[in-house]
Amino acid sequence: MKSQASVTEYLVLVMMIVIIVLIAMLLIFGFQFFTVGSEQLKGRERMSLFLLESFISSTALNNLQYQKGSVFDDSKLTVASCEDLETLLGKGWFAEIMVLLDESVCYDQPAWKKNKCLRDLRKQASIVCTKQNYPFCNIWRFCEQNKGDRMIYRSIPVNVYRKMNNTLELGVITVGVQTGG
Amino acid sequence: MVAIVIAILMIVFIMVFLFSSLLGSQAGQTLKSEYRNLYAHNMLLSLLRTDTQCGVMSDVLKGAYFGGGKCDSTQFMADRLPSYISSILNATGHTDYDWFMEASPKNFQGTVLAFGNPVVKESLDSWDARTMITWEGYQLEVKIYVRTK
Repeated sequence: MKSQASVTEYLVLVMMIVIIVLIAMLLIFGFQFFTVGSEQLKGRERMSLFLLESFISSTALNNLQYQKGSVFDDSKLTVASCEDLETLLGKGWFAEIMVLLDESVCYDQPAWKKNKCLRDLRKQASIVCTKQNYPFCNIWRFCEQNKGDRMIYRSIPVNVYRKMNNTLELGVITVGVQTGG
Repeated sequence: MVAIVIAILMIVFIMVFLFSSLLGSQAGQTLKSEYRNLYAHNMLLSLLRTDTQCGVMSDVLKGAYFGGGKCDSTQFMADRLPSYISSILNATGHTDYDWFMEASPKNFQGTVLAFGNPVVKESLDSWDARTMITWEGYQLEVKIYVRTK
């Protein structure tokens, strides 16, 4: 009787352990299933950071006088192409480097000139660079994506070296990574 | 005996479950922190290297602290620094950021030059970047603090 009772106890124990293990596996895999989406998003965010860091340290795009990086050379930006950058960085991303023009140069002007100054500056600020209009432009775009694509965007301040004037201007780089789906 | 074993197994599995969810949330925080640090560092570096009507921004700051410079450096910093930073925050889509910048002596006695909202420095959830400017052996530590409003 006693041994029969202990066998039964043993079987109950094994059954309960199996049930607990199954429940735990269901919990863990269920959790993993629900976190796949957020993991994918984190992967995209990591990619956006990687792109930013790659751009600001790239010798192909930066002015090498500034060893700390984050100084884009406007002539290098103008000759670089999406295809060149995709061979280094892969596909599924977008980048834009924009010079921030200093509107305060217009504030010192007489009132009647100020509005025209601001209008001209803002018009100039929105000109996308090509080999034909360089250096009279302020935005460089690489690998433009379709408008319908869902993207994660990240932006940081940078400098842009203007070769013609030998000046360093304030700018911003924005990268976008496709989230897919 | 059975109850003890079951209890131990349940505790182990719950700990595994909690640990994996904790790891997941930590990874997200690390990425956010990395981006914020990069942002603050680049904001400070880029600002100080920018050419302005008054000269390179770092030279203007030196002029505001030690005197001299192409123009009224103190007035220029007070007037133009906020607008430069404001244009950065607008262009990067971070109008929700608040900032504070200060230049303080590192290897000598002197006052502290400050710009922006001082509350940001004291805030527990702010992040910062720092760099050094040198002039005739004097070192000025320049720090920028940023936080979400």
